[in-house]
Amino acid sequence: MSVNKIRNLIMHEPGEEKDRAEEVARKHADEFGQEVLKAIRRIISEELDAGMD
Amino acid sequence: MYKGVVRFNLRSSPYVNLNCVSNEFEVDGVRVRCSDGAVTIKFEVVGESPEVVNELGKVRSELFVYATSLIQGRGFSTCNLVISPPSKIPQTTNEDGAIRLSYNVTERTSLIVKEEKSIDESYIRKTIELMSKLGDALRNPSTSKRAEELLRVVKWWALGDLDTDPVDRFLKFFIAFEMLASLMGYKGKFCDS
Repeated sequence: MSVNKIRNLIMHEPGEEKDRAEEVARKHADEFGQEVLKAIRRIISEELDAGMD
Repeated sequence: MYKGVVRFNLRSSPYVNLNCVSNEFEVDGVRVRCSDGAVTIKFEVVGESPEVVNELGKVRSELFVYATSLIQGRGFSTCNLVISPPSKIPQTTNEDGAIRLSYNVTERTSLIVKEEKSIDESYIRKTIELMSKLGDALRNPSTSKRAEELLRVVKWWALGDLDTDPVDRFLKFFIAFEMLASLMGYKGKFCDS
C-alpha cells in the first residue's frame, strides 16, 4: 500500500479501511520518517551546499 | 548597534534522552547548559535596531533547531524562547521585560526512552556550521526562496518526530514528504509508488 493511499484512507475513509490504514501508519511511521529525513538531508546537501556528515 | 541575548530550551521527543558530556560549555559564542535533563542554548544577536535584534533572534533560534534536527536525525524545536530586551549597553541576561515568543513547557513523562543523544562540543560545532550555511542560503537572493521552502519541510518533519502519537507522526511526516516531492517536481507522480 502506498503512503499516499494510507494518508487518504486515514483522512477520508471512515470504517474498517481507515482502521487498517491507521494500523499500517502506526507500524511504519518511524521507518517512513527516516526515509523522508534521508531525502531531506540529501536535497539540502545538494541544493544548498550544506552537508551534514 | 543593539545587542540582545537569545535563550531557549531544546525540546526533543520524550522518547529521546539528551545526554550532556559536561554541564556547561561554549562553542563559537553559543553557550550550552545542561541541567536535570534540560538543555538550554544561549547566544547573542546584534542588529541595527531592537526590532532587527528580535527578528534575528527568532530566525537564528529556528535555524539552530532545524540544523540540530538534521544533524541528530531527530526532531527538535525551541521551548521557552526568550529574547532579552535589546540594549545598546552590553548586559547580562535580565528577564524583566523580556519578550517571550513561546510558552511551551516540556512535560516530564514516564515514556520509555528509545534513544540516547549526546550533546557535546563537536555536535554543537557541526550544528553551528550547518546553521551558518542555512543562514547563508536564506540571505542569498538566488537561494533564499528554495532554502525557505526546504526549511519548512524540515519543520514539518521535526513536528512529526516530536509527536508521540504514531498516526499523527505519520501524517506530519507525510506533509513533509508531499512538500518535498512537490518542490522536486514530483507532484502527482509519486502517488502510486
